[in-house]
Amino acid sequence: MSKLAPTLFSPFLLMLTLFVMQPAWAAEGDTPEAAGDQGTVTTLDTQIQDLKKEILDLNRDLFLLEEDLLFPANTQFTVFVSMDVGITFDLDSVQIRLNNNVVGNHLYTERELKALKRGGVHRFYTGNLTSGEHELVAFFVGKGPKDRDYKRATTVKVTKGTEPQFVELKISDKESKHQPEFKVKVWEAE
Amino acid sequence: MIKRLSVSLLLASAVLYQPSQLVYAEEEKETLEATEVYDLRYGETLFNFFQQKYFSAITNLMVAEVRSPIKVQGEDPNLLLGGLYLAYGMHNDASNLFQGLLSSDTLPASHDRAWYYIAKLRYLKGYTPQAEIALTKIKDTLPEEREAERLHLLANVYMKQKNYPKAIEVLKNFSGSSEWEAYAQFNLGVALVKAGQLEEGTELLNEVGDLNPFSISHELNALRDKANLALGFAYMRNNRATDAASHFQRIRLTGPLSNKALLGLGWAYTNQEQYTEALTPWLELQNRKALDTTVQESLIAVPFTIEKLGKPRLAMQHYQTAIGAYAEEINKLEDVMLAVQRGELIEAMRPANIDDETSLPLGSFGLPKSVTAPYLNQMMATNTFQEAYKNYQSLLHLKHVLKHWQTQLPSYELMLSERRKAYFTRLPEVASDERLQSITRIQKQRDEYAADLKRIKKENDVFGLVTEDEDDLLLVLTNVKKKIDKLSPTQDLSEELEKYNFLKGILAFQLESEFIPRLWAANNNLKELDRALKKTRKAKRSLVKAANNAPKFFEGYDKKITWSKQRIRNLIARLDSAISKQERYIQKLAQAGLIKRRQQLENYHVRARFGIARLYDSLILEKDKKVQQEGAEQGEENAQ
Repeated sequence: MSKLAPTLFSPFLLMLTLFVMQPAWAAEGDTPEAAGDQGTVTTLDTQIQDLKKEILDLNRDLFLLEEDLLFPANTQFTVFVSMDVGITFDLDSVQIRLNNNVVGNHLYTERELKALKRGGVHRFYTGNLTSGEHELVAFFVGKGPKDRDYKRATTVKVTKGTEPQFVELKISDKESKHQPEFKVKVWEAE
Repeated sequence: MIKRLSVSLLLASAVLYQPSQLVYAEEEKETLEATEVYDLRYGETLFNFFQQKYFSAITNLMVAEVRSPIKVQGEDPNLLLGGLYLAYGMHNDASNLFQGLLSSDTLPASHDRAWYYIAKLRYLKGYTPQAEIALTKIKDTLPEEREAERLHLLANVYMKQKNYPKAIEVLKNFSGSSEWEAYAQFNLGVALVKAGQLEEGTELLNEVGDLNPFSISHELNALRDKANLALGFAYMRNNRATDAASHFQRIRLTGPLSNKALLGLGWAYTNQEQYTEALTPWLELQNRKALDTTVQESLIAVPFTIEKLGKPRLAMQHYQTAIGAYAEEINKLEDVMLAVQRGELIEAMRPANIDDETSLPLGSFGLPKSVTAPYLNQMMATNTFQEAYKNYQSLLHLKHVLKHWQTQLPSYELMLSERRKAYFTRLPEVASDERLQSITRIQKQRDEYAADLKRIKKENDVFGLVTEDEDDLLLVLTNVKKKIDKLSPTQDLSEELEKYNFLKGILAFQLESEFIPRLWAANNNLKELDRALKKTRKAKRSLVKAANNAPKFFEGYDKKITWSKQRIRNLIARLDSAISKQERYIQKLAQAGLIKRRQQLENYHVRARFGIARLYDSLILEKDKKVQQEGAEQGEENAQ
């Protein structure tokens, strides 16, 4: 090797010292030195954390205020959509009619569908209903087994009392027929 | 009940690892233990969490806590909230929550999970010994895959403390085949090589580097490449160029490490004085588009090797090309630095759709050409920059949230004002409603009925419970009797009297036999009336109460809105300040990265110039020597 070689070779060898496989949160030394002292960065991070906390608190308060004003407990009526984990049905959209009036349409994104299939529950609609009997019709559109288009409506009579009412529309697999099944469950407010 | 996946532990991996590992964590989620959702609000939180809408998910849990805490999910909501705080960069709140879980009366499984999070937090903050304590507190309730993660973290903790024997011991505790084990082996191998324990280190790295590339995941293939690269470098440093070359050759040609491998391979050949072979990988490198450090280094490595092949003039040409390329890149770099200074980077980082709280990955938006130099992309891939970017996006989203409320509040004020107006207009109407006044009259009637019923029961008055028809019949009979009584003195009406007695007897018998059921039904009706009256009185009381409380109700909301407006104003001011600071911080990070790269380029530039000067000198010297030699020979000839 010539005398020049070590000089040329030095940056190359430096790579070894930088090349440690670490999870991102454990990574060290990737902050460029000139980016400012660590103290300032920590202070800024603390400020941001404090701001997040305060805004979350405020957001909660305003959310409660909004709910109280727009959907008082005695008339509040909420519809949720859920799916059983592992279901093969690919939901495209849902439409809900209350007493023959369309109150909501939702086209599901791939991300939302994944969240549903992993156990998430979608708050589909929140509104107000007077006490008494009402008819709720839900239309489900999607792709069933063998990529076949699937449309189905399900109807339920609900009796609204003076407490908030929650209705869950659940899509599950009808095991015997390998077809989706749409169930309705009325949850009692605690 | 719906089968759902447990997320308490999932968060730990999903939120903290770098993108490549995130993919890995995503893939394995389905293998997590299942739990059930008994509360729709918990399910709603999961819906947001799975879409990485951490702000909304935290809000869901906070609202549920105020309305009516989720009790039917055990410790899951708390663990989820702690994990969400972590994902949202609120480490202090996460830490407090997990510490709280440890001190409360929770199940061992929840304790273990809390300790796991705490260990990660401590490690993240650099409290390595404390992280070790937390990790050793975990008992045996973690699922297998999470236990592997724990061991991986523990191995890292020991490595950070340079306690390599302990880290090696941890490796023995992995059961089954886990990707975490491969990560731990790799990390430890590199740490040992760095510490000078080449044999032990290379042994561990070899295990990862020898993995069959066709039977392992994409993630492990990347790790295999990294192991081979690290081994190649380690052997080069210890002058074992042949071994180094074999490891460089095992790295995939199309992977993200291929450039480094090509560069290393060239040096490995050069080290063995196989200069022609060295040129092959380096010239291949120069054909690559990305102008990264390896390509730049190859620009001066090629002429160096050509020189070794005894072709100085060709070497000079390559040095000239290198100088031109470096100068061009330095100019580009300075343009990028100016663009960053002008705020173009920050401008490009502002998401178009701030309504979507999901953090967009860097690179998902188009950077303007002025800031798209590869130098910046590399710097942007660092963890520090990613974290800064995430925080920046969060701040912008928070401002959007506050602005949203700021525009909503006036409509709520209007709504309240309208309700107040309607209330005070309608209150007198409602108060004077006749139906409300009739309650007293109805109560009086009810009392009369009740007294009558009591008497009927006491006197066993079967005629007291007759129906209208029966009452009519009784009236007819009474009239008949009266007529009989009136006519009897003059006529013989014994037959009619007998008939009368017979009919009255039948009616009496009928009433007698139905008396008990009728009495029971009447009592029931009275009870029903009591219930209805009770409900009406309650409604009236509620109405009165509402009427009395209404002013306070309106005032309460007014105060809340006024107070919220102040809070929003104050928070927006603080947010603006934080956003400016964060923008300056991001710009500093970018500038620092660019300065570092410029220094590197200038260094190469100087070396290339030095190479030319040196070659030029040697060529002149050679020429002079040749001239001198020719002169001497000529002299000798002349002398002869």
